[in-house]
Amino acid sequence: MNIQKLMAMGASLVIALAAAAQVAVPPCCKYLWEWPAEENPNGACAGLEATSCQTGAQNVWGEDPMARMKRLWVEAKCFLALLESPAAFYRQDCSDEPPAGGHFIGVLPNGQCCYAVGPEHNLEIVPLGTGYWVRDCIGNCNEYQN
Amino acid sequence: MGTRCARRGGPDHCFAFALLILLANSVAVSEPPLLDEFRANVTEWTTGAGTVVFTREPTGEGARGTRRTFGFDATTGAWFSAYESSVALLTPEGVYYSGTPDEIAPSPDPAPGLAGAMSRLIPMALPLRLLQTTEGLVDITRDADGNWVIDYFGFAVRDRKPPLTRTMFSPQGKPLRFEMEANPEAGQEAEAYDYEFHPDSREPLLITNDRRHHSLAPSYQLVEIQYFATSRPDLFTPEAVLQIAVDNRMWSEMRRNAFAAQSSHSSRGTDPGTPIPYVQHRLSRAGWPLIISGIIVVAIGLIALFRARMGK
Repeated sequence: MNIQKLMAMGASLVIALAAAAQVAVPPCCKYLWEWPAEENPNGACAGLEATSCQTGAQNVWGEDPMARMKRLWVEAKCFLALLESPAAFYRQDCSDEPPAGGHFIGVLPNGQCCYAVGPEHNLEIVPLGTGYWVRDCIGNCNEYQN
Repeated sequence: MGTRCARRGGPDHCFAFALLILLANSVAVSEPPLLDEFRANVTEWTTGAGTVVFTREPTGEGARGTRRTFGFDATTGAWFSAYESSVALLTPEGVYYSGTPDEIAPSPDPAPGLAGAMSRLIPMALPLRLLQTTEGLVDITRDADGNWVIDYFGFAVRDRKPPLTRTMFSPQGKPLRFEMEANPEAGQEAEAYDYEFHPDSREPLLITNDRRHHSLAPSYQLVEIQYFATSRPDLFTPEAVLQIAVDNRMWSEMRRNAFAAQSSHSSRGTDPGTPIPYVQHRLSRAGWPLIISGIIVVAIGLIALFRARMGK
């Protein structure tokens, strides 16, 4: 085997690895949410407050290419929803028309969509910042993809 | 409901309240007989009330919570709320706008009628709204002490039952008490409390102390309050409200960034409501250049090795 062939094989290997790293991570769109138990007698999408993180899709892995290799981190956009009654969370089929003035909170495990609805002065959506990262979105992508 | 009935004077009161709900749910209620008298009182209480604009900020340490500003014009009933991520405005002409600090546009009012009154913050907003509409009104009565008792339906989304709400005012127009029945469908408990007002607020546009107790957010304090003696329609334009919202967003972002910088030096991931932020360390930033450099070095080494072997 001459040197040219060896170098060509090495280069092909590097390119293949890089390509695999790009496509091996499936699209991921998961909603991580939290409704505090003490205000949550009816389960998710109820009560007066919630945290929701909407993870990004493929190729939103941030500036660090190593994160893609580690498969440990995914970018997420998180926010708090703080309500004061009569504003309320409301769940419905995602295919239905969103309620007037509703703020989208996330997709629930049963596939329904959750909104915060009410007079604007009785509800507040507080961004927690983009560029947050949460652990291990992989494995849930198909289930929660929308 | 049981809690409220017990607090408000026993089974008789409870029965009356239940009857009221049944009546309200069954047929359209005609105008309460005391409506005109009450409206005359409201006009008397609020003559020259002017306009109020006030701002609340989160207290304590932490990234959560945003600065928010509210405005209310007693003459026109116009109001606005300007948050970091959402803005709502009811203009003096009655046009409802909603959107973000970047853009707001006319849209359907999600809570028309009494349900949309800014009465949680400024209780007098409810009687003032009653001068314009009776949508959602159930009844107006007077109790044994002559206090005004207003029963109305709160906001409800779509097919949900609207929560019955009660607000009481003294004969002189001082807000006394707020009650709201539970909203089981929304997982919300009943509320009943006597009003408490910020000491810097003035009658008749008294401003309530923040009663929200969210486990995920700090409490809020009133940091600025301005009363204007007259109606101020210039404060209730989309442009004016957007400017306030943009300022509030900048304030909130700076606070969040300051917190992020501070927390990156301390422990992370202890707060269950916040995802663990990913921090790129110097070593991982240098990871790819190191790998590429390594590959090049190894390749050069291999080339050198092969050349050396081939040369033998």
